[in-house]
Amino acid sequence: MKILLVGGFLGSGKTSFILKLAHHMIEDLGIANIVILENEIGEISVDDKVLKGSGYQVKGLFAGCVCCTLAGELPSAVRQIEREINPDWIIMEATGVAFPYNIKENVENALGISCKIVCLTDAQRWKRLFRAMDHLFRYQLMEADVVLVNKIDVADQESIDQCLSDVKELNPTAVVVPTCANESIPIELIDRIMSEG
Amino acid sequence: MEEKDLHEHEHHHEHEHEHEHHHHDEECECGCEHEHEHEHHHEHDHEHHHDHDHEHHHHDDGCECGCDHDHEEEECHDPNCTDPSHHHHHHHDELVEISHHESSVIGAMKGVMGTADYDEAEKLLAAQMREAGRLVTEAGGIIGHIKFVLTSAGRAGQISVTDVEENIRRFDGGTSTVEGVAIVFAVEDDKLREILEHTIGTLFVKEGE
Repeated sequence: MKILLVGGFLGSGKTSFILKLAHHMIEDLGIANIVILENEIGEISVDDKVLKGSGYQVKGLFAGCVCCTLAGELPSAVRQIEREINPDWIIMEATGVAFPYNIKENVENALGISCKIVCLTDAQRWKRLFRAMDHLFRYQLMEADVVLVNKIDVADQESIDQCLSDVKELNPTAVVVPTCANESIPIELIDRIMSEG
Repeated sequence: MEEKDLHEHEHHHEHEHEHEHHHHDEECECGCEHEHEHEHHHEHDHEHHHDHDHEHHHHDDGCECGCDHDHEEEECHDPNCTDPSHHHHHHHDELVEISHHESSVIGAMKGVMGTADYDEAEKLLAAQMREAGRLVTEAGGIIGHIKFVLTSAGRAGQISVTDVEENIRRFDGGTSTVEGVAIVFAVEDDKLREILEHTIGTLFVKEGE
């Protein structure tokens, strides 16, 4: 069983990316046994309904964040999924305010399962959000293996350039890829994420 | 949509912060002797590591307060907690349930709209969500996202609003409720509650109406 963590701020396109990723894994790569582990900080979940409505196996951890308040529950949730479903992959969608590195550390220390992190940023809103909440973004991008600078189809060039520059400065080792919100993700990128997972 | 400069609303992380919020509505008269405060105490060393002490002290197992509110089972998230009284969460009749995570203020709400026409309901809900977003920004806040799921007569959609975009993603559904959250920053609890009640909340009908 492999685990891919998908992080990024609220509205950056995590759920859309997961839908595309899961579709590609099932349709093109023939990996049928996938579980999406959805974490939402509110008591009311909204993204799991979309994922379930799209036909995927979805498990949820709600009313808290697995990078901190629900950290103690995450290892047992993963073990339960492994025991009951034994998927090839768990795609874990973090909350929009989570620090994925904390989740990776927790899973690796508690379960001995290595994780890869894909983090999304919203190029369109980057400048305003980063100026207001730089701490959150700084730690959200930390240790990400791949950063998708998303929504370049709706962002102006200056915003895209600024986002790319900031991301590369915040995480010099990540593979940084500009992506469009409403277009398919490059197959080579998904295959690279999968092979490294 | 006009872009607003949020620099003046710059968020400052505090190394220790404490949140207290009351889950009772103003007219609550349940009369039990338990504290009805939901306290979160967060300590952050800001080296990408969080230490959290959470206290969810509501009702204990022997609670006989007799009020009509739901006493839903919920696990306390403090790994050191052995107090059985920390395993009940007390829900009251407020239209908007406010909680916090890190610096975000989360307003969650759920209700039934007075139309079975999905297309009409989607238009009405999206319009009120846009208005809620506008009011959050006008109040000096920053929108993380405002995201609601609408289901009616077998059709369903998720509407998501930020300060710059609106997306509707439709999927198969089967019931008739609206539920969702607004996650914002730099807005007081009561302000967010007021905004949500006066926008999306106006769409909800009470049972029997």
